Amino acid sequence: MSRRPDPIPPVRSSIVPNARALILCVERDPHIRELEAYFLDQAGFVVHFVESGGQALELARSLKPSIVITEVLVPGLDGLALCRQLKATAETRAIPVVIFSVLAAQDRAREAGAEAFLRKPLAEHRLVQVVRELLAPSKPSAATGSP
Amino acid sequence: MSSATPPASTGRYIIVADEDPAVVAFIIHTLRGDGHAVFHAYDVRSATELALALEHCDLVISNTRVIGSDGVSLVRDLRHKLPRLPIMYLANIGRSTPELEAQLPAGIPILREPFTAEQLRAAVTAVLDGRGPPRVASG
Repeated sequence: MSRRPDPIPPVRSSIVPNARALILCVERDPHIRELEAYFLDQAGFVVHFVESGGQALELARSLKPSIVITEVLVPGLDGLALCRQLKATAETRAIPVVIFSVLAAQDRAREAGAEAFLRKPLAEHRLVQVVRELLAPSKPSAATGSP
Repeated sequence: MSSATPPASTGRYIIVADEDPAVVAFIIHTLRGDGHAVFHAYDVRSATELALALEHCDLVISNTRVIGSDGVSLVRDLRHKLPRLPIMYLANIGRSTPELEAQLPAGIPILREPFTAEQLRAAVTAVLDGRGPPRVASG
């Protein structure tokens, strides 16, 4: 892989509801990471990326992110197992989890306790909408966003 | 979902494939300043994977200089994989030749280096005209 870091910082929106909420993203694909980072940053969120479910579990406990967005296909602890563990632990149970995957895993995401499921490829409006809905005072349950 | 929240931004989804960081920076600065979501790739594989990672991409801009390709090959590959994806070719002043450009698929617009921000905007607008509505990040 010969891609280099983005030389230009993303343009920030001046309208940032839920400003600076921390989103923990678990994603290995650098292209998906770049897109998620840009869209979520532009929508006013702080994004932190990890590549494995184990790292995410550790950081979720210490950082207490506002939302966890995870692919199913991540090394170590997969995204669904990560979700189950987050929901099984009192200190992380309240953190909304979005399963964002190339797999058709909507039912498994719901069974694992995820609040929302999004199917790849990435659609900016669905990603930002789901995040904003989950951060709104009255959260909907099991929002879905398959194309 | 609150419908009172204004969109975070509007514009189109554009991917720039070019191995020159200075050119990439210029294009990104110009087009993001116009409200477009612009992503870049220095190599062929990244350009293709970025295009496939987005549910919708409005335009790929490919220079002659792309790591792992002469640019024209990237254009041809993208046209094969994503036949409806608009593509614009940036003809590098030192490397693009009539023989190379003759291998471009029919209808690919060409912008020749050097170009100004206004020339870039005009070329991009010409390609994007007639496309669907701009991106809206939230509703």
